[in-house]
Amino acid sequence: MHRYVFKRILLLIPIMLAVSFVVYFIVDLAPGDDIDAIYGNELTAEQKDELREELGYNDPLVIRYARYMGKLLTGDMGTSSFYHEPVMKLYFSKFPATLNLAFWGIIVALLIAIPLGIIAAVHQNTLIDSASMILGLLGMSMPNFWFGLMLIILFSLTLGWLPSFGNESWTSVILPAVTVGVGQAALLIRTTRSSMLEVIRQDYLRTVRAKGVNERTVIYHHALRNALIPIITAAGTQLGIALGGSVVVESVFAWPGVGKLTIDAFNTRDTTLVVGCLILTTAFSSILMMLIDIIYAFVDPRIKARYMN
Amino acid sequence: MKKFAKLTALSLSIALLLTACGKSGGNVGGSASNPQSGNGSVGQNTAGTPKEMVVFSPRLDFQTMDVQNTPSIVTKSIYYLVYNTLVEKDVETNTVVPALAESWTQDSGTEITFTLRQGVKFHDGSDFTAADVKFTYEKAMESAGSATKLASLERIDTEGDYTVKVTLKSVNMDFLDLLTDPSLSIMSKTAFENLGEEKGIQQGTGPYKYTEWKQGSYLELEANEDYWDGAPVTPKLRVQYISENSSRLIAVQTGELDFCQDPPGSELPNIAANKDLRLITYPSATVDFVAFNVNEAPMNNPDVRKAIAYAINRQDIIDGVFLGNAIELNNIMHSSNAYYSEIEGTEYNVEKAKELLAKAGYADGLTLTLATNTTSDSQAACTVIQALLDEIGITVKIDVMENATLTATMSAGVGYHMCYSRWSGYAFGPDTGIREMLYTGGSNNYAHYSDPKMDQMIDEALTIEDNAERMAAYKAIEEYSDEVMAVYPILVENYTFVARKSVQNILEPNGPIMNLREVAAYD
Repeated sequence: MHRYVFKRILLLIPIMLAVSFVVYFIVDLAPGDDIDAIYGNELTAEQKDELREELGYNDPLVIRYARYMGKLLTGDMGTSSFYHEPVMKLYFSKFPATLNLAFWGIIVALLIAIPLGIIAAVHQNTLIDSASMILGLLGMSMPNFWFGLMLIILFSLTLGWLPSFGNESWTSVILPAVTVGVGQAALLIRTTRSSMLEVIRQDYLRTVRAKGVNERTVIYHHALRNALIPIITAAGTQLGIALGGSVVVESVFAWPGVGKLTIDAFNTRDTTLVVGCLILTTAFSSILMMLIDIIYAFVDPRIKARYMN
Repeated sequence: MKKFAKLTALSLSIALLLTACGKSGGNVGGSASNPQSGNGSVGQNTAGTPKEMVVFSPRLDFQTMDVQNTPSIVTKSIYYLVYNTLVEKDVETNTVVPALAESWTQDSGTEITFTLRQGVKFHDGSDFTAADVKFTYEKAMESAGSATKLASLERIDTEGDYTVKVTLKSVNMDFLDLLTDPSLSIMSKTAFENLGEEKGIQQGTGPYKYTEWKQGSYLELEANEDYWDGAPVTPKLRVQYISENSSRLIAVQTGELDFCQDPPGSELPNIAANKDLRLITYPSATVDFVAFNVNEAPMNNPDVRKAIAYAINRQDIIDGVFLGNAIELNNIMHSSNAYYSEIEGTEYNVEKAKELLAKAGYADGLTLTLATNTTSDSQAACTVIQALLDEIGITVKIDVMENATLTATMSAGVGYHMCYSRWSGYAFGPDTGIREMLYTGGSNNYAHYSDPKMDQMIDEALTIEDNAERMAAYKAIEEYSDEVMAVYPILVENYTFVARKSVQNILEPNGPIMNLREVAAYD
């Protein structure tokens, strides 16, 4: 078992190396750099070239990448050319807000998905089943930009219950979390449904029923428990994606998260910040995936068994 | 994001309708005034107590406290609250007026002596003296973001505590105008020495001081009770960053914001009809233009360029794309500049366009590329131009590029015939803008136009000491520019604020710089 965990952690290294190189390479491919962005009107082309030479922008890609990675190992990800602040500091000032939103988003998604998924599975191929599926699909198809605005209009403007932007009190997270959660719920409803369907057909459930256990206990106690593993995996994956920050939701609710930071960095051609954000986001998502895999291994006897001998 | 725009418009309309129905007494949209007619200081009573904190959301985030190294105009507008420059621009008279310098004498074309205001204190309590001016300008000459502004500065000498003598390398009649740029705000030498660079840079002499900055969320300012020009009315100002224009508008409606910049253009009529809100418009600092890349044939042929200019109807773009919320511009220079003068320009004339195109040998038409960025306004404007040029037989291929790619392409000057772009057309003084656009190698010379006659005219205009003569020189440059048609200016979009009715004194901006020094809200 330790071998599995160790192997899984070790796998992070090549993943991170590959990702960082790809990110660095792609950002480098894009024309224009932060010098253009900051000094677009202020400096002439020659002055900009001088500055590039001075900052080592003209060195070969591999050398620049090696230099970047060298600094990265010492915890230095460079300075944002737009904000004039260290990338690390900027990212970690935004990360808690993203984590907060991702967490509550997935909670909302699960609160919607598990009941709907179960109902759909129990009433397979009935009107109820189709209705829950359509409901889930609707959640996913609604652009969350629009849905977010609708929530703001209802709960902030008309009813005046909740704040429409920012992250200053605990009530601030409700609307963005619902927006994120509703979008994520569709996939989880499907996962719950199919996972439940698979379990419901198992022999042991028939045995349980034959023993006269009431249907409620059969579903919630015996079936759902066994169906949970794929649901947790799917939810984990969703959470991993959400860690990158939801650009749209963060924009609509002026939520100060890393998604917004990343996209703003793109728009201002703040290449150092773009590279930093992408690498850090990937790192967190990879670590999360790793944790899920490890937890999964502990929970699922089949994986455990493979590494036993 | 683009497909969301329509949905936003729809949902906002619903929102405005809901509030209108909910609150107004049967007066929905009835006696609404013209949406363009707002003005910050018109018809308001100043009775009542001012609100403790006024919250507003600009278009963009506050970028950095590094005063001398940002081109961001929103950020500079905040500096205008926190600091003072040596001299300032008076918007009404369009002249340079005293600020930290009480008076000045132009000893010769290259020498100016400033007499400084006495008794002014920085936010940290240190006294403002000549040493601070010298310190600030010498620092600016070293910083990449400001050095070009002071490129003509030879030397600064202090004579006692309250006299500063500035010597220029060559005559630069724009020098005083350049000093009004908030990037050249005076900083405290003492504060830098005592508090270090990070804290020192935050000490201004302005009506507000920094209190809290949550990057990416808000910046809070507090009134400077000791301000030399009288303490401001509003005790606290909060600059809240909300990137989505529809979210900003809703936050003004809910009252979470007192006012915001740039609401969605499609909502302007609804805002005008909403009795809680007021629309305030000023011409913005940006100029939309089409540049003809003379590197690529046939754009090196002036007749082709001129023909295209004749075929573009500015009003179609203003009405179709900006819903009327913009003004036509014939000049390269922004209309708010002190040296702006009306020129005849190239008006919409399809016959002349066809004639010139035939003269150039393209009577059978031709195909050209038009590069632009991904913003919906630019793309829509290009579509209008595409349709207009189709009428004279020019097939336009619109090449939409991500902004970074576009800027790089335009700087390189290869791979496009024309580009539709926008620049912050207001410069401090008449020279900078024209030089950037039309001078050989200028940083915004996306036409890649190079013409010794033009260069000479621009250089000469900078050194003319007589005001009327200088005015005439810039008019001549504009007329020449219109004749050679390297760049076709199109329009200036209006700057819009939406404010709750309680908000007053959003003063006319100085070009790009918002003036929020006197803003107040009364309950």
